[in-house]
Amino acid sequence: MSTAQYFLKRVFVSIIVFFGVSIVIFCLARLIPGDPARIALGPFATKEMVEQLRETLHLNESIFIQYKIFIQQLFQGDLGLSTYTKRPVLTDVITYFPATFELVLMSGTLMILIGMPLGILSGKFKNTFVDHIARIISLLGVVTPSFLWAIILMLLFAFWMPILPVSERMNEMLDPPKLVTGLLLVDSLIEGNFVVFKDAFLHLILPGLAIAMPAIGNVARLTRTNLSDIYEKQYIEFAKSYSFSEYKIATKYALKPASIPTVTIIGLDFAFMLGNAFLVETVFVWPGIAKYGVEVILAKDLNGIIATALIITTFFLIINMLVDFFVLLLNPRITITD
Amino acid sequence: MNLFKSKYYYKFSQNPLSIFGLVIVIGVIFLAIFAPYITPFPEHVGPFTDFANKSKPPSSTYIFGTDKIGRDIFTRCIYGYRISLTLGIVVLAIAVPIGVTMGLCAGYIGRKTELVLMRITDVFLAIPALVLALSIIGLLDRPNLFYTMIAVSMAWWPWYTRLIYNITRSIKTEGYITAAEIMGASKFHIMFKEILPNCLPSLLTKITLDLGFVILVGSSLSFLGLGAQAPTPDLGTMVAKGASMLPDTWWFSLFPGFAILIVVLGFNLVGDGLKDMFDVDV
Amino acid sequence: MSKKLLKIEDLELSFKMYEGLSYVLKKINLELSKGEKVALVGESGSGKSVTTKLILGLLNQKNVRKKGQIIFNDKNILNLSQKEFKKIRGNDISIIFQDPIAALNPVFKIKDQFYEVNLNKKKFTKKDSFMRAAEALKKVSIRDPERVLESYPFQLSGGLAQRVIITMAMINMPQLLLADEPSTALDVTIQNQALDLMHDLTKETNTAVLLITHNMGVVRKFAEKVYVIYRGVIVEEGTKDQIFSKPGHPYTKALLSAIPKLNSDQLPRFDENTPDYASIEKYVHS
Repeated sequence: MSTAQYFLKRVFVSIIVFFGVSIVIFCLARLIPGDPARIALGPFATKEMVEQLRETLHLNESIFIQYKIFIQQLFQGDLGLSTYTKRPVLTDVITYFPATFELVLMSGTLMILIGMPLGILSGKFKNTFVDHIARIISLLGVVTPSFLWAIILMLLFAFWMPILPVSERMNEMLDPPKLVTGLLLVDSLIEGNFVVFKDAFLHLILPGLAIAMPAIGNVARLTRTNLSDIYEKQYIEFAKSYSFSEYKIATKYALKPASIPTVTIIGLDFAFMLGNAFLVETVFVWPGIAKYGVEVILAKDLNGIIATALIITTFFLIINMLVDFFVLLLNPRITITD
Repeated sequence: MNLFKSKYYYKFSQNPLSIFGLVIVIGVIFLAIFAPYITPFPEHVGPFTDFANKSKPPSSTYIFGTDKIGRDIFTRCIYGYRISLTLGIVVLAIAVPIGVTMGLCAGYIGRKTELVLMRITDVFLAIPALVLALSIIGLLDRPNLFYTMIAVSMAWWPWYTRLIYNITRSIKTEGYITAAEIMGASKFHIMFKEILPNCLPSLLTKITLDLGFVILVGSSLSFLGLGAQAPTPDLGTMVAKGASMLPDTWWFSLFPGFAILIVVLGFNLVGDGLKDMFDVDV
Repeated sequence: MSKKLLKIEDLELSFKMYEGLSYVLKKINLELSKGEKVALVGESGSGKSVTTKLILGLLNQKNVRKKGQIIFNDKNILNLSQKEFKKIRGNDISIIFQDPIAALNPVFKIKDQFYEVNLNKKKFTKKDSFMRAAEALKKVSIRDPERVLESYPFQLSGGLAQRVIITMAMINMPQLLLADEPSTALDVTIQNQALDLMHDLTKETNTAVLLITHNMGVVRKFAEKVYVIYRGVIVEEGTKDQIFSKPGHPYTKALLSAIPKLNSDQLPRFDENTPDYASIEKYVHS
């Protein structure tokens, strides 16, 4: 099938999955034991107050009608009211999502920029000193929880080597740039404000690294394995027999086929990193949707929880689609039929 | 069975790291089981206060120091292993049977069953594990260890479905399956007595690796305050409580943190060793 | 007697393993003249494939021990540097492997792989390389060479892929072609095509061929001279006629009897428990 057909198919599947996810999250919210209204209002609310909230939230209707209303409101951009912030949830999402988006983008970049070269070095110099060091770093990355990385990085850079900032998105002494996308890096560039750009960038490094470390370790290990698998293949032997340049073999000839399984893993690791964002945003006091998510969970804000889960999942679905297209570019087998 | 041990164990022991991992795992299990007898202050696990000795740095009496209300952190870490291991075992005890059964059915029975089951699995896989677990816990009334176990299981089973589904699909057409079908074996028999044994190497490897990762995710949930509550000595909760008091009382957070790291490392190394031994990819 | 293109003298190869030294080749002696077609016959594990690797200088791991000489064009190439080998590989000496599709990188088009091979001759532009490759493919009666060049390896059939590989091997008109089981992976019906192609191309450029195989049928069709290798030692050598009509060594006899005959009713056996034939004087036809 052609690239266009594949594209459409993927989008279609993603939409179906999105609806499936919305059903799951919605059902979780409604079917879990306990009265959501009472939980939200707390043990001191009167029966009338609870009943009133139930009416507002349509909790007395059948589950199908509730879901229908939910989806209708969703497409109208109405995510309900947050009992935690007392604002429309949509406002909360628009306020906080860009921060997380920027952070996850930074983590993803670090994952690829550090993880892949680490894996390539490991694979090329297999079983040498370089390989062993790289493997230890990878292993530590994978087995250390993100919140521990966050704490360790914080200790290192806040107290023992204060060269990088450890909280918030930028220095509170500086004025933030005009709000265009919500992404500080982009907005400051639009304004030509390099001071804020540098400041925002520095603030992104530590939390980005804390989120990315497990993924870096994972990507490095898998790149190493994939690369050394490829090196065993016959077409590499053929290339050597015909004196293809060593440099070309290492960078293009072996790397391209090895990238295919690696890119797939990178996609999955984004899910992992999105989860880690909840931990790291809490430690670094990062005003993102993940920190918001933790707060609404502790506050039992139904609408907030549903919205957060949906947004994060949608984000992940989009990333997955992008990853699939990237694999498409690398692997001719998918689109070409004979 | 002895033969199995000698041939496979040789391959496993080729990598010194795997042995190291095995030592860690056995060590942790031992510590967890015999905690009351090995730890210096078992009574610090329950409601206990000793303000005279609060916030003491690591010393010969209190190996990891004491926390804000005077409890020995070392003891609490060892007891924390009990909770971690229990979490790991219970979560997998729930997730694995569900996931495996679904994978077998989807892979072998096929057609509509496959379509429905795998679509459901895909939906669950589309939600990042921690996010799903957080959502579930968040919607329950009071977070505690039990709810954590349920929530993490719900996030974990799809991975087993996918693994078993893939393996089932690839061996569905093998000769011995066809032979069993011709002999009139029931679907149940084929799935559980013919296909499942072939999944065991991958399954065991994944379970071992997952024991570590479940503990990781579980401690992350506790860190956020959504796991076991005080005074239960949960490692994640201990790290969280200490996080606001860095760096002066760094031992509040770092020791429980490293305790988590070590147990996850152990299971990870053993799992990698099994991967090499069985030559599988999970 | 024409000057020898390739002369392997007392070649020994061993690998240092945990258990000790493992001898793969023990005192191999082999000669090839310009344009001569020579077959190296033996079973799996006899050491025939590593011989080609040594000729190309592809065995350089730490645990490899080499002794003896491989003289190519009056120069000993056994311990040549990788830089020197780069000039020889794909240029003076080419190689064909058993599985043609596995020898090609699945994510690159055929034209890209031709480009790299062409670079061994001189610095072609991508366009010139494409045309050179198309010319070569056309000459071997591959219809529609442009389409083949724009394809990926998985789109080609086994036979077509092998013909492409053979063309790649011959495009720089090497003096020596190493063919490692070139027809084994192909259908019997396609095997002949590949062998015929090899024969035609190498005749035209007077390229010598060292054909590695375990299939005596292929030997009979293709080779002029035959060396029989067993467990790292040459146990018999002679012209094709000599080997086929009067095989001396018992191992050669067993190989010959393994060719399926329409009237035989028993499989040949070679008794593994017989004394080490490596220690017995080898049989040379004079």
